[in-house]
Amino acid sequence: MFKIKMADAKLLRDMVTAISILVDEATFKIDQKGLKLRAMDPSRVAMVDFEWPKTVFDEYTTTEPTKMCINISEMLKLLKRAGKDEVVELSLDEKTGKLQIKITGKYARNFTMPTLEASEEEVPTPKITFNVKAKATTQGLSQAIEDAQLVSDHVRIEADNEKLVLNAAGDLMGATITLQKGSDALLDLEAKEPSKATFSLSYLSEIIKEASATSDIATLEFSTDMPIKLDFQQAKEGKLTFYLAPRIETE
Amino acid sequence: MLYSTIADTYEKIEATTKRLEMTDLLVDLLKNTPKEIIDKVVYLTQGKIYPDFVKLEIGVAERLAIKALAKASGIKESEIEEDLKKTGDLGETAQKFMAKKKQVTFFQQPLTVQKVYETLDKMAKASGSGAVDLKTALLAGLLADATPKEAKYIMRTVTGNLRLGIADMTVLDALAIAYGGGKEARELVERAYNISSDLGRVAKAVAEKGLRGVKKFAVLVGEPIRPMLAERLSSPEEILEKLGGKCIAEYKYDGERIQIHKKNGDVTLFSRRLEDISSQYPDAIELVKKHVKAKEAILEAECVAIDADTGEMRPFQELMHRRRKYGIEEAMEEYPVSLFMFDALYVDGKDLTLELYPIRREALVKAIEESERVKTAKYIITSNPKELEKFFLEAIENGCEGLVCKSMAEDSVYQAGARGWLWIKYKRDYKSEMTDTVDLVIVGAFHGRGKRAGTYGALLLAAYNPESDTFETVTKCGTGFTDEDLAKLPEMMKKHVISHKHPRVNSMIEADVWFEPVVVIEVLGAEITLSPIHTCAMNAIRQGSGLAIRFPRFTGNYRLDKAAEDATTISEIVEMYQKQLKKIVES
Repeated sequence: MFKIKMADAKLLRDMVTAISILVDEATFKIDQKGLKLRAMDPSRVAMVDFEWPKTVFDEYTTTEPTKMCINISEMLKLLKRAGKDEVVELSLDEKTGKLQIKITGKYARNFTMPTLEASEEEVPTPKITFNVKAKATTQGLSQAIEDAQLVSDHVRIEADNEKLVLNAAGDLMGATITLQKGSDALLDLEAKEPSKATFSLSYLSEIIKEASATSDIATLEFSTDMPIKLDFQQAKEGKLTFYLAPRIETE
Repeated sequence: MLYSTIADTYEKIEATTKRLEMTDLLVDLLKNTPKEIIDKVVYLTQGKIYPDFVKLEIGVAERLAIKALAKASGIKESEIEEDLKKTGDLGETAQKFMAKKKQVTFFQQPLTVQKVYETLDKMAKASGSGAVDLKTALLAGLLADATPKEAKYIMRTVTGNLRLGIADMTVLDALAIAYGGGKEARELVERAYNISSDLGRVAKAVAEKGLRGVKKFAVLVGEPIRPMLAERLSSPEEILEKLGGKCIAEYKYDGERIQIHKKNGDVTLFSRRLEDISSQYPDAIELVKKHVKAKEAILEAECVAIDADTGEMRPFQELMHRRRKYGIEEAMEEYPVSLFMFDALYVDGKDLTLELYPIRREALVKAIEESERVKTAKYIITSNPKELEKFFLEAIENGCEGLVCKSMAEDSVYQAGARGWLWIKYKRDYKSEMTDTVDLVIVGAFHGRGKRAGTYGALLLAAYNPESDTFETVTKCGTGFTDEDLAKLPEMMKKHVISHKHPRVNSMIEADVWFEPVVVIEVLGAEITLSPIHTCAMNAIRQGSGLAIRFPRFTGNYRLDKAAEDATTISEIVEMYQKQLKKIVES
């Protein structure tokens, strides 16, 4: 049994949207400390690691640790009905196994939706030694990604101690986007050694676009030909981190 | 069990053209398969995930498959399309690109058969607005975990192109060898298949319980029985001889053969090819619900298009208008159907497939309540070739294809899935199609029923014989009349009504109302056929037979300009018959 309440419906909606880009059925873990989800997209190319401690919520009660699996896109349809300053309350009816979504504000709505069989698969966190750590504004990142998308469907990210460079090469066109350390977009940059890795732009752009709604600043970590970690700093407490596996480009 | 075991077997099977080798490879695979999942493995070897009669398909279009492959491999869709043009095989293309995939994945896991089956099952069941995206993601996920070889076979499976050429019979052989103790067990295993049409269920039964499992196999309402088929002969003498001198001869209706499964309130209809065609015939389902008294039953019937007004049978072509997905309601109105039942394979707990035909027919009669639109197939029991021939001509004239002559002997069981000599078709070798209209004289009429109560249901029409100056009947016509025609006909014919057959009319049929031969109408038929009951050109073509028009339709033209003696003559009809007589080529 659990019951959680959030005065800001938009925050919940944005977070669920960010998760929905990778998974269709999501298994949440709910315990005394808070709400957690770690999941991989079906193609095993990207991972999301999400955590909201109970302090994020306006009300949070749970009797024992619970796993709850729900269809994310269905849930999103319901959450989209909530206006900006409306209150959302989620609770699990253990008898029926149904999730109740109560939205109150201008008027009261009480939705119920079924829960699914929770996945038993434990997704481990990738253990990677990162050589580059960059802190950027999500707005700056979004712009750079949009530029790259004009010419290709994948992008090479390179960094040394001075700059972060996005290199996109299409069949006919190319683009190089340079973010200098200390510029408006790139707040900080550390590189133990110059590194480069290539990633799918469709994953990258979707992740950055949706996560930007919840965060202004992102920390990127990567190494040559290794997965990239994108950590989106949350206004309140909590964690929203994505991992994306690289592409191998043979030249 | 790892999916790679299956993929390896597929590869070996592809490399052989010998059926025996194929069987051996299958035997090895089936022996190495855990019994709990043997049904799934059997479906997969057929490139399917359910038995054929289950109305669910994995249903992956080429577009979707390319998208999923692009996602899993990190290779551009355009590049995949380009390669596909060369190979023409998504499987091969998938194998190639997964071998040089550009996208790295987290934690690749070896694919198990269970995982593959569950994912395909999820894909088949995906529906609604998000179905395409979900299917793409699921397929990409499978491919991400697959080796290039596995990717090839997964891709072929989801797009319905596995085509290993493993016939049902090869699987049955392999099951008999792997779990039945040898090839001798094949007959028992095959029977189990013939009464269930479900290779997976048969595999599970024989794997788990050996031959005992298949011996105890019983028909199940909801699982179609593979239909018994008939051989063909073209003379009544040969047929009777083959059937031991005596047979039940039934009308062979020109419709669609359907297998009716009724369980309490639920009715499912299967086609001859075991496809679920329930959605095409909501009206037939209603008829079954209303007129099949048995709680549970498996019955066989011929579903025939009828004329809504007269109840007469219509040609097969009209029934084909019912083969559609949309507009069923309209088609039902325009092309209503009747059911002619001819066998009972299961009734209220009793499997009848091993009972003799006369007993099955008795069970059939008890199981249903005959009505205007639900009847048992019309039949005679005969040992006389002449009687058989006469019944045959009558069947043709009434719109049937001919007769099915059935054994009544001690071995007349239901041979599911087999074509044998217990049932023999008797069809025409020749037919004479009608291309021109004829002008015929109204000599009698039959009272209408139902919608046509108070007017005529059909008219008895005759051609003119100038030699004897008589009118000889050639057809009974009830089709083609508008409501307006029907309303004015009794009024129009009133002055010609007489109390008995007119002396110049030569008829073997008793009409409800007789007329003076005066009024002439124009009629078009489908064929001219030999008839045992119409007097037109009696004995001219064949001793004891006249000529009749099959599927006649009034064109709407009253030939008021013509006197009865100006009507089409019998010699003209004989000429039409002879001119158009052609051998029937079976397609």
